Amino acid sequence: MSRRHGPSDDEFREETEAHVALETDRLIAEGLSREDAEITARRSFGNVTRVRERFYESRRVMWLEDLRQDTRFALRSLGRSPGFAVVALLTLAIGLGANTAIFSVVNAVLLRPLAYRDPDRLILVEHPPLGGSPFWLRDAWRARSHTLADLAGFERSASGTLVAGNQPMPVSAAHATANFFALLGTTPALGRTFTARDMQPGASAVAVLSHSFWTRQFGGNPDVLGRTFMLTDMTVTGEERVIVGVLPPDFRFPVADPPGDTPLFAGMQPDVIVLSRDDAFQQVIGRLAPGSTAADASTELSGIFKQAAPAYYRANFVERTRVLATPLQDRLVGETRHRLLLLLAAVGCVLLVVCANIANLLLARVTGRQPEFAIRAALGARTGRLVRMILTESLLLAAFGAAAALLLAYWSNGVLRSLLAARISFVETVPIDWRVLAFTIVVAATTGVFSGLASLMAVGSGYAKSIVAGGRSVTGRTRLRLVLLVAEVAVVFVLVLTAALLSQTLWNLHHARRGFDGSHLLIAGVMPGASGTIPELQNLTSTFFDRLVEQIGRLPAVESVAAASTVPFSGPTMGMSDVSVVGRPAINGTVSVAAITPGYFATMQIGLLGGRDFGRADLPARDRVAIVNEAFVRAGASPLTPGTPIQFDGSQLTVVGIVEDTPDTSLRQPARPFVYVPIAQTVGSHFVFGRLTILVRARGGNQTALIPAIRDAVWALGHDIVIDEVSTMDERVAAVVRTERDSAFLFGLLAAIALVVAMAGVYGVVAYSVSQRTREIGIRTALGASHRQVVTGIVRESAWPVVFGIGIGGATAVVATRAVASVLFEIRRTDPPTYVATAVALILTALMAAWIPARRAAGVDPVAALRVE
Amino acid sequence: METHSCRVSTQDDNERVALLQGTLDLLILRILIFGQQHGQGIARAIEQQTDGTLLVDHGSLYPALQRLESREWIEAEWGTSENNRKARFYRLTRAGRKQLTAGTSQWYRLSGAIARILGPDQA
Repeated sequence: MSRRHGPSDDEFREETEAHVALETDRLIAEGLSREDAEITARRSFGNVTRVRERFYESRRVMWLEDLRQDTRFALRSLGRSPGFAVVALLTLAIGLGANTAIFSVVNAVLLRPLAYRDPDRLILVEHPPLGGSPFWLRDAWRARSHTLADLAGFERSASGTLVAGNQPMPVSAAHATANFFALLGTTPALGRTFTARDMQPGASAVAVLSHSFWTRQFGGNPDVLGRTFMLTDMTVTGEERVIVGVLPPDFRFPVADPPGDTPLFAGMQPDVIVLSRDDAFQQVIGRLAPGSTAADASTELSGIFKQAAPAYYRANFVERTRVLATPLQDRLVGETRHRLLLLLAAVGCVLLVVCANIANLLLARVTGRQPEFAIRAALGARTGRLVRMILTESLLLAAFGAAAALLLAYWSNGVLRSLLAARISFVETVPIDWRVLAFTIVVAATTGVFSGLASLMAVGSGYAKSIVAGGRSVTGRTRLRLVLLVAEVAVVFVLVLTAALLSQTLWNLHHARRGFDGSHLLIAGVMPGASGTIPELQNLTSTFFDRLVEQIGRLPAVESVAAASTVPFSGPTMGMSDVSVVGRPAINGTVSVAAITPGYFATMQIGLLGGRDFGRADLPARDRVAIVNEAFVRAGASPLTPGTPIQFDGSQLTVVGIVEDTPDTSLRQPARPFVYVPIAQTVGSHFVFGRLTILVRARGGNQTALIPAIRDAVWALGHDIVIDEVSTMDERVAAVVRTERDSAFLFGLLAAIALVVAMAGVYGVVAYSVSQRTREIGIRTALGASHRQVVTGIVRESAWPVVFGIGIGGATAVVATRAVASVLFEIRRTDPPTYVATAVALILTALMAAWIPARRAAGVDPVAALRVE
Repeated sequence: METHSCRVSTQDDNERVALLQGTLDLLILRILIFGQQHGQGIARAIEQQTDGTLLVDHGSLYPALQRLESREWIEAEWGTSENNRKARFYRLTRAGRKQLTAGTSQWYRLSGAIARILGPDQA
């Protein structure tokens, strides 16, 4: 029963008051005084408050009972058609599940605030191409800035060796200034973090441990405080440090993904954070003063830079450099935001397809229950009541779907986390928190309501008449079903096309011309740890690596070996500006620089296009030489032959060789102009290298087996030399394309799901149409139509909505793919073959989906069909 | 089964006569035969037309009115009374009219049967 025609709570109050007033009037008219009349009127009413209360109560109970009855009825009716219920539930579970899973990732990365105090006031200050800010600049900013309340320096993790109580262990370390933790608002789990007092001369060098490192290596033992250790890494050597605290378990070091593709090691969370007391270049994190924005900070810090920098840098460099302050969360998330939003859009599309399918299913059901509805209407049920019945059913389905979705999201949590971990190290968990729950509930409810309403759209108040008229008036309903189908096919087209474009991008990246052969190549960073004046350092480094390369080269399993200051995909490289061919204008922009030992190109199998490689003859005392790559030649120096002099770093170098291009940080960007110099000739130049990468090509292919031998060779030259970032070149390259691979995989999965759901929709529509037209089919067969004619006839009829859908989908895709254009590589977003292939694939699958029920139609016995009334 | 209190005025003030709920519904329907009426008017009508034999607790009318309304035997809308007060007026529906006929004959059958059991009136 419905309460729709009863008074509302307020109306009822008015009504009872009116009643008492009317009775009072009557009694006054009969002669009582106003007072007496009022009293008597109230008395004859009885206890007004109690009457009202009973009314409110009964209304609530009524509403609850209606709900219970509706639910019970919906459950029973769903139970009576288990096939429909299972299909609908599965479809909903997949659609909602995918959405919840992706949203939980979006939530973890983009929506959840970072675990710092007032995280939206934190900014990262950068000025590319420099990878950090020098000490004098940080001081100047700190002293003079008004837009920043405070700023701290920090440097990301590097691999190092920690020796505690004679026990060496590999760790990843980070450095931070004394005010770093105070700025972030971190409270330690044990002990303390850094204070200003730690900076005073004579104070011991301090460090804090990460929570996971503390539990792993020290068993969570509180006596770790006060213990000392020695740390050797890229920037410090062998200083003894005191552990003064342990960080809380939810602390995340703000490691930002470097621009370009991800090198393998950049994103790890540090095990140890030491207090930095030196003048190293450091990244800068700042807290905005109240009322300032990041843009204000950018402008102000830029200004301070321009004032202070001329004392240290050349004027044109100062001119060109801009200081950029970015909100921390934006910077940490980086390019991933774009990809995550794309994924969210994709699952949204899948959900649309699912909705359309469910609506179609419900529509078929509603139509099938027409007799039942007609009887109900005759028995007095109002249209609104029946609408509520349908909606309860679809909402009930949606509720079950939501529960299944949450289960699916929970179960896929592990997979999602590992997918993320490669890209974003500051997010380690993908929790199912209140936002995810709210999202699931809202989306499920919307899906339920939308599908229910859509299915009712074609069932107007005229259905009772249509039943009376006796015909199966299917026009309105069929039209809606076809419209839904067209929409589904269009959406699926866009998804499948995008997936195809992304897959081709992955393929193109994999097969992009690399210029080098990374197979069987082992790479490791080696830091000799020399100290002294700059010329001494340069000399020591050069002789060290000469000897190391020679030693390793003698090993039988080694085919070739070399050392270089930079290898492809190891991060941004050093650059030099104002490079020119003598007699010609300077090359625009900066030129990348690499110092190498002879044999580098052979080891990397980079093609030599002209001239020669460096050799033993290219000693410091002799003529300065250089080798350039094709991009350099193209950059404004062509034609260029061996023997041409170039102006480089204030001196003149003779080009002795030209080599193939190799990628720098990314497979996507065109190769940069490169100048290679022999490391022996860096003595006396402006270049100082504390660390080089050695490359070892293994004979016979087993490069990992060489690792112990190489370690021995290195430590034979000095037993505390740091070796870090050991990997194979294949691993590096694989890490670079990992994002693409994950994107292509996820999109492909979603497109496949959508395709299956849509084809189920095609199947459903055709099957329904066949069941509705059994008579007609029977007649046609009886009149002599062959099997094939019947089948082709039905299939052809279902073809046009699919074709229409493909057309609309194609047009939409041309616009929609603008969103993915930035991640495509070597393929246009309007690539015609891909569009054609997608269309063909869709038509074929649709034909298959239509053919199955059509075949059954051909099996219709004409006699039986004609008897069906 | 719910019962409602009415006072029978010719007897002791404290005596209550329990009315079965179906009966009150029937009375309300009957009164609305004459046209639409608001709650107070219905209560008054019951008192008047029984010459004061039945004095209804006006408040107890409302559960009955709500029941009748939800069954769509009566429908209601806001209007103005004779002395310009805003009140909610009830009116019979077609289904309500049918129910009145059916209910009345049922009541007569029932009360006739009871009367035959109880024998002729001793009062």
